[in-house]
Amino acid sequence: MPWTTYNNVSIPSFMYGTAWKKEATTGLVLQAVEAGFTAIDTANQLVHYDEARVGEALVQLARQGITRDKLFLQTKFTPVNGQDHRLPYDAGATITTQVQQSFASSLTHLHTDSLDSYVLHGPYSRRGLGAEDWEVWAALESLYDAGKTRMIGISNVSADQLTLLCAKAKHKPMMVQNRCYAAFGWDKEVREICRTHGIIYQGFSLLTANSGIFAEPEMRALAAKYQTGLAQLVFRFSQQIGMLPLTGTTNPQHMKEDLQCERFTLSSEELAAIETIGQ
Amino acid sequence: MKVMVKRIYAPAARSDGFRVLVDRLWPRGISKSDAKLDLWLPDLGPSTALRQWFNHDPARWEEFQHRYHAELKGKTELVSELKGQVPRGTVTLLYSVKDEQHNQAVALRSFLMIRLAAGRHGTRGKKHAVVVEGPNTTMSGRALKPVVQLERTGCGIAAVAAIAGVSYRQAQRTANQLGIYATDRRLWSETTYVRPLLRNYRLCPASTEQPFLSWSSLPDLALLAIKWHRERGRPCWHWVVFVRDSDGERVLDSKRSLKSHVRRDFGRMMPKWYLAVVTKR
Repeated sequence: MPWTTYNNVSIPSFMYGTAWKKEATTGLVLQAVEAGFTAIDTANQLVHYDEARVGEALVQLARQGITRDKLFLQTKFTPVNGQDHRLPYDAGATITTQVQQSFASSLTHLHTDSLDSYVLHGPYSRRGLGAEDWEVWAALESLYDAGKTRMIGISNVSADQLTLLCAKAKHKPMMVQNRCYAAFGWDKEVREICRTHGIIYQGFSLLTANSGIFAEPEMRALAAKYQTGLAQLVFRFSQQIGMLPLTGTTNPQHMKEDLQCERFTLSSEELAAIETIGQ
Repeated sequence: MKVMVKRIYAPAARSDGFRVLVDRLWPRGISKSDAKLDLWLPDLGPSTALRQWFNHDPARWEEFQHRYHAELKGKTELVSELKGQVPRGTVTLLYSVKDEQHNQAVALRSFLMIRLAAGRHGTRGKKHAVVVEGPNTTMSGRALKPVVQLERTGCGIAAVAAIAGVSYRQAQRTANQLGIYATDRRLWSETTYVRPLLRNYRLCPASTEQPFLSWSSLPDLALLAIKWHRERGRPCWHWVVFVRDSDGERVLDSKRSLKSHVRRDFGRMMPKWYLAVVTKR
């Protein structure tokens, strides 16, 4: 069942992430779409992503009849401190220009004329928000106002930073994407802010950041009860607590299994138990 | 680029650069904000079974590293995520245990450095080179000088130092930064570990060792394996450098007790095989 953002954009309830796929990116995106994923996440950042190879997959999918309008595309602007020497913009230009250049380059890579979601990969500041953060957010807002992206969001953001952004931005983010640790209550603070403001919370590294909980007898008992895998249990839990999960699995079987997690429903007691399991 | 290790309970410093916790479990007594982390990669830590087997017993350290490195080879995405940070500045791997010499951060660092030096998953070349101390002189126009090994089993490090034109201590420090230690028994039976060290000095080793046939058929520069024998069923040898230039053919032998470290007693040395080396400079 898709989610709807506060500005009425529909977004699929599960997303395929393409980080660290390198030259396998194109093939894996094709497999993910074949498995049933309709939302793809990438970034214009060659350190961890290969956006152009996502674009190659989109071209092939279009030839198969799966056209751009049938897919939800999300990519990111990565500030210079998150890039290596392969920058998709002029590092000497203003941040506003860097965003415009990176966005244009993303459109070229992805063979499209607009995005569904454009995300700030992370604030410039470690704590609080500085002038650079406000400039970059204003640049994203301009793209949104111009209709070039249907939503804008922010990733790798702390609760304090998100509170600030929501309070002072012209457009508060429509989505947040964070690494989600069970040890920190599955990023509870940030999720609470998202809930208050009607922001979609996307969780990544749900499995790799939390493999420790797989050994918990309670998790194993729940997996057995619902006759499902531990990964599906985590994904279903995340959806039921209002999160949009990302998976980056490279296994076609796991892609299908992950999407099937919606076939069972955890009780509120079980959700509460998992929510505190890693703490 | 630099990869450091540090106990998470030590105060964070600006010089730490990108701080990554590599413990599987969140360390006791430290809050999320006090940790001042840029990243926590719990799944990059050793498996629970391996951690429990190791139990920080120094006697199991060597085997622990071997097994942990094998586990890391199956975690390509997490290793890629970490490796992606390294070329952009200092990365500090954080751990919680008291033992500062034998822990997963130290083992992970050596894995990472060998991977980076070997360029197996990244861009080869200058940008990723982990040169700590460069050669004092260039190869061109300079006669190679022997380097005496300062560790009993440091012949491989001494041989590379001789070719690179650096001191034993300089090569030793660079080797240690790459996770290569003369005391590591695996070094005595494998050539894998000397290759990253050579590459680090812009020296290009041949991809495979070649059997020794005759002195005249050797290339102009090679690492040569002499005194080849088996110890507890594992092959061992002594590394020397073979060089052929305007001063003729000779072998540079790092063994400390030798009267002359430049040898021409070719009949007494019985090389088993050689590794050709080409200088890129």
